[in-house]
Amino acid sequence: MAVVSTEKGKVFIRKKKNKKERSMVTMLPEEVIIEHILPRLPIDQLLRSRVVCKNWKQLIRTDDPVFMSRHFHHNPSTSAGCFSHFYRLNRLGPDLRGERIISTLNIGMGHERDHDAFSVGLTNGFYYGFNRDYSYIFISNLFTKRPAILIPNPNNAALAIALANTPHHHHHLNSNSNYNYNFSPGGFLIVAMVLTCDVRNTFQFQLYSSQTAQWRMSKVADFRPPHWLKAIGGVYDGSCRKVFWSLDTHIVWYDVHADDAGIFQTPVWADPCLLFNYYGGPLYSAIAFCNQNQNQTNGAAELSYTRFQDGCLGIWLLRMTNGSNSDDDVDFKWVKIHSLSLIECDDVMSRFGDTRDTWIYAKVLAQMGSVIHPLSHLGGDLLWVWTRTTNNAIRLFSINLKTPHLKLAYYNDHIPVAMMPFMPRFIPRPF
Amino acid sequence: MSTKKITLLSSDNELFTVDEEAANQSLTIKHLIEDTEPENGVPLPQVHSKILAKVTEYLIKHANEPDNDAAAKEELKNWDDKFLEKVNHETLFDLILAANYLDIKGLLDLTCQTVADLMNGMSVVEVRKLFNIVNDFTPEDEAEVRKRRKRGTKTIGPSNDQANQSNH
Repeated sequence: MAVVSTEKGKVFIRKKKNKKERSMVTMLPEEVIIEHILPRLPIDQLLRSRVVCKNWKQLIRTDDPVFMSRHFHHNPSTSAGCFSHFYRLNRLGPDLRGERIISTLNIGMGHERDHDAFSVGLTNGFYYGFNRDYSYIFISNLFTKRPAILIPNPNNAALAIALANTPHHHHHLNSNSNYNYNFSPGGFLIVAMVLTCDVRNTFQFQLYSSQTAQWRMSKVADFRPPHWLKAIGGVYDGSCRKVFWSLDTHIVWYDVHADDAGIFQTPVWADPCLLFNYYGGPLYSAIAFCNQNQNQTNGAAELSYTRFQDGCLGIWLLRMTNGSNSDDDVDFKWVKIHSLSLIECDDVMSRFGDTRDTWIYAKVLAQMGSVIHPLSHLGGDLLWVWTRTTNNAIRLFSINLKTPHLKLAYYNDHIPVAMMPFMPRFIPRPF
Repeated sequence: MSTKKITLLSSDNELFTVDEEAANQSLTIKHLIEDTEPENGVPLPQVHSKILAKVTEYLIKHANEPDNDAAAKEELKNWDDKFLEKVNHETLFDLILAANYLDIKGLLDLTCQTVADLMNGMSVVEVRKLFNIVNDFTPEDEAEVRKRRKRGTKTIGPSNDQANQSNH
C-alpha cells in the first residue's frame, strides 16, 4: 500500500488507476524531489523540467546557490574548472570541464552585424562582451543560451570594465547568516572606467546595476589612475556590501550600500630573491573570492590575488581587520599563501618533479614568463594560467601548487583569443 | 560483537528478521530500537511487506560495505544495478518513500539516481506521465512560456531591461 499523506507542502503524484481495484495517491515528499531527484538531473534536463507543472517551476530554483550546489555536487561537469574564450560568429568555446573539452556554445548575441565582438569577461554564468563599435555591452546567459540583453555604452568609447554578480536585495540577506553571499545571484553590476580622466587626482567610474538598470557615476578622491586602465575581475565580498576590482597595481572597492569607494595597493613581492624583478615586466593578475576550506556553503570567503610577473607566481589572501577607532576604519593586510618561480631554469628539474612534460612546460612558461595570465584562484591546490605566444597561439596550463606539477590542458594555434575562468555557482536570472 | 537479530514488522503484519548491523543502516530503525526496545519486532506501519522485503534484501547485502576492496565494490555496484533492474516505476517510488521514511541513505541515493536516470532524455510529457503529474499550466501560461523560450528576452535600453529584471 502506498503511503498516503495530506500534509501541506507535499507533491501530489497521482498514480494511474489500475484496471483492478486501486486508486492510490502516492506522494513523494517535496524534500525528496528537491534534494534528491532534481539535483541529479543534467543541466539541460533540469532546465526543461521547469515546465512540467507549476509546482516544479517553483522547486527548480536555478538561481538559488543552495539548490545549485546540490546540482553541482551530482554534476561536477557543469561547474568544475571550466574555461571559455570567445571567437567569431557568436560562438563561445570550448569549455574545459575537468580538463576535458566539452563543447562550443552559441551564446546568441541577437544581432547579425555583431559577428565580431570583444570579450569583456565572464562572471558566474553571465558572459559579457562589446559589439564591434563599442556602442553597447551585451550579456548572455550561458546556460539558457537565450539572446543577449543589450546595454548601451554610456560613453560610446572603449571602456575598461569590471563585472560582478550582485546578490539579491533582500532574499538571502537575513535568512541564513553563515551563507557565503559571494555567489548568490540576483543580477549583475558593471563597473565601467573611461580610459582618460578629466578631473585631476580624482578617479571616476560608472556603475550599472541590473537592479536599477541605470548608469551612475562614482569616484575615488585623491587617486590618480594609471595612464592605461586595465580592470580585471569584480567580486563581491562575503558580507555582500563591497565589490572589488583590480586596476593595475591597485584594488578598488565600492561599497554598494554606502555609495562609498576606496582604493588600496596590491601586495608587493616579499621574497628577497624576487625583488630584483619587482615591477619589471608586464603585470598580469587576477582576483577572486576563494574558499580555502572548499566548502561552498560554509565559512567566509577571502579575497585572493594572483599575480604572474617575470615568471614568478604569487598568491595572496586579503585579511580585513577593523581598526581600533571605528567600524569604518578597516585595515587591509595581504598574506602570501603561495609563491613559485619559473625563472631559475637550472633548478627547474628538481623543483617541478621528474616528469619530462612538467619540465618542458616549466621551461616554456619561464621563457614566456612575461605574458602569463593567471586565472582567478578560487581555493584548492590547482591554479590555471594561460599564455599567448607571439604568433597568437594559446596554451592553458594547470599548476598544482602543492607538488608543483604542471599540466598542459588546452592549446589552440589558430584563434587569437583570451581564456576566461568560468566557475558557475548558480544559473543566473532573468533570462 | 554479538550478531543480535532484529525483527521488523510490516504494515500487513509480516515479520522480517535481519542482523542488527544490517538494520542499523536505517537510522529510523536504529533510533526505534534504542528508544523503545521493542519485544515483538520493530513496527513499521508505513511500509508494506512487498516493499520491506526489497528493503531488507538491500540492508543485508549492504551490511558489510567494503572499504578498500575495489573488486568487492564493483561487485556491490553490479548487484545494485540488478537490484532495481526489474522493479517497476510504482515499486521504485514506494522504495524511495520507504528509504526516506526509514532514513537509509544508500538506498535513497540509489533509488533517486535511478529515477533521475529514467528522467534523463524524457520529454516534459513523459516526465508528467512518470510522476503522474497533471499539467496545471493554463494554455495561456504555456503559450507565454513557449513564446519566451523562442524569442528570449532581448532588450535594448534600460527601460525594457528593468521590466525583465523586476520579476524576482
